[in-house]
Amino acid sequence: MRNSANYIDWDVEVRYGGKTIVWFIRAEDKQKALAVAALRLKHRPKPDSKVVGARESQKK
Amino acid sequence: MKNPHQALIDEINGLTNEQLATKDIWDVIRLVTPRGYADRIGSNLNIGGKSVSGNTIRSWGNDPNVSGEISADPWGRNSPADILERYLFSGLYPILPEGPALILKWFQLRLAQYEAAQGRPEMLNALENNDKARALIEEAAKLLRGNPTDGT
Repeated sequence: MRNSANYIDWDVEVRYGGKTIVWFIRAEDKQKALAVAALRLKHRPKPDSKVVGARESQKK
Repeated sequence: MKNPHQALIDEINGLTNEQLATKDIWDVIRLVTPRGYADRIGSNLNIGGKSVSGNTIRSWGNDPNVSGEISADPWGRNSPADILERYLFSGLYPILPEGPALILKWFQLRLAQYEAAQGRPEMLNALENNDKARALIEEAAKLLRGNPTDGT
């Protein structure tokens, strides 16, 4: 059964429609957080968009 | 110390279909909004060119029927989920019952894609296997009826 309790909070920096924004994504690891962001961009495409990078969220 | 998300996840996973079916959509939204995460949910959203405040996200989980001193935020009635529920079952279902079923299947497929991105491809595989099984059943039914099949 799915259990996301031990996921880590990631701040994923995204260039979206020419603007830099941060998406908060909970995932097991950085690669999965980036994969979720990339899928979101694929589903809601805008010109000048890409996933820039991710780091562990400092916000508690 | 127990992970704070674990209690919430245990509550979600412990719900029976009967318990879930009796809940209003605002109560489901309340359940799936982890304490301390409303601001982040709102920040991820973009509606009308603006992110959504944590207060608005929290208000979507308010009981709209509460009156008196504790007045419910009017957003409580107007969450996107509430609007979707009304579209599906007040608007569309009476006209075309297949419509809500297709839309919910579309959401299920989309969820399966995100699950796969999170390293859990089981749901996507199951949905794809359903398609293959259905194609096989249709093929077998054609053969049983003596109709020519698409294959040669």
